[in-house]
Amino acid sequence: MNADDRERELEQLIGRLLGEQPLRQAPRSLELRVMAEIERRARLPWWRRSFAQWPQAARVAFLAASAGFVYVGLRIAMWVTEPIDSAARTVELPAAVTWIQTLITALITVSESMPMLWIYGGLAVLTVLYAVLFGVGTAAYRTIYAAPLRSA
Amino acid sequence: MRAYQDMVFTTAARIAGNDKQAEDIAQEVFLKAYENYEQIRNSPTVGGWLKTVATNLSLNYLARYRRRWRLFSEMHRQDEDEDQEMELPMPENVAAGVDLGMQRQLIEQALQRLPEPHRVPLVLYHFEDMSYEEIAKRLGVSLAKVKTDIFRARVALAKLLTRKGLGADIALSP
Repeated sequence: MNADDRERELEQLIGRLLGEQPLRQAPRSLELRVMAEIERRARLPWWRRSFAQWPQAARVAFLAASAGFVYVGLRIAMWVTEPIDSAARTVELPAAVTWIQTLITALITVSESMPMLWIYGGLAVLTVLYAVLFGVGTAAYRTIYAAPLRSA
Repeated sequence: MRAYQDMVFTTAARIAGNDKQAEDIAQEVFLKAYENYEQIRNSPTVGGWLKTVATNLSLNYLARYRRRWRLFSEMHRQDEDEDQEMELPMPENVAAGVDLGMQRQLIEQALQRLPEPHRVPLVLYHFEDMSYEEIAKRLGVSLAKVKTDIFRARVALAKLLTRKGLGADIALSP
């Protein structure tokens, strides 16, 4: 018997074994959980349900309000950054938002005057910290979550 | 719901490889069915609809929550598999000396112990009757990888079953 025959035989064997497997019994808690969740969702006020279940008028109003917010946000962003992009043009800003412009100007000045070595160093430190965090998370996953599953 | 809960739970459990997560997925499937009740209440294919939703949600779940962890948590086990001499174990005397109920339980346990990249295509092929091409498309991997993963899954499953006393090893070489 060659390797192909053995592979085919193994496929047939596994296929037969798995094909004969009956359905597993769902936990008794499943039905209770589903019913409880349906009741919980039914008790929610409309604004806490999924967007698709909102009343038609509320959905239209929400979309209109969202579009309005986006428009206002864009106008504010343009308003704040305009003097930075073009020194010749000045815009009178209310005193309450002047600090935003100052902050942005300061950040741009700092980033332009910062040595590239510092930037690369900062990125390297961030990468190392991310890798450490990733490693710790993975170790925790393997120890706390995956190991009990494998030993089950 | 009672008529389909075992099917939905089994589908999710075999793909997700974890009963707790399978229960969460099964709950989500039935909540979706409840939301779409008017559309599916008189459908003759409601079972197929539920199975498809269960399969999709299980695969989405794996893609969303496990992609990052899988890289590290199963890399080691994959390497272990590749380091071993490839043998084709044949648990041919499966029924010998083992109670049928116990045998089925051992098979389910062995399935859950398979690494996710091997288990998922195997389950889709043998339980969901998907072709190699469909599995490759659904998982976004090459056809060759699907074939290799399913082959490795069969070998690993057979080894696990053999280790549990459900058969005897047969070496690949003649």
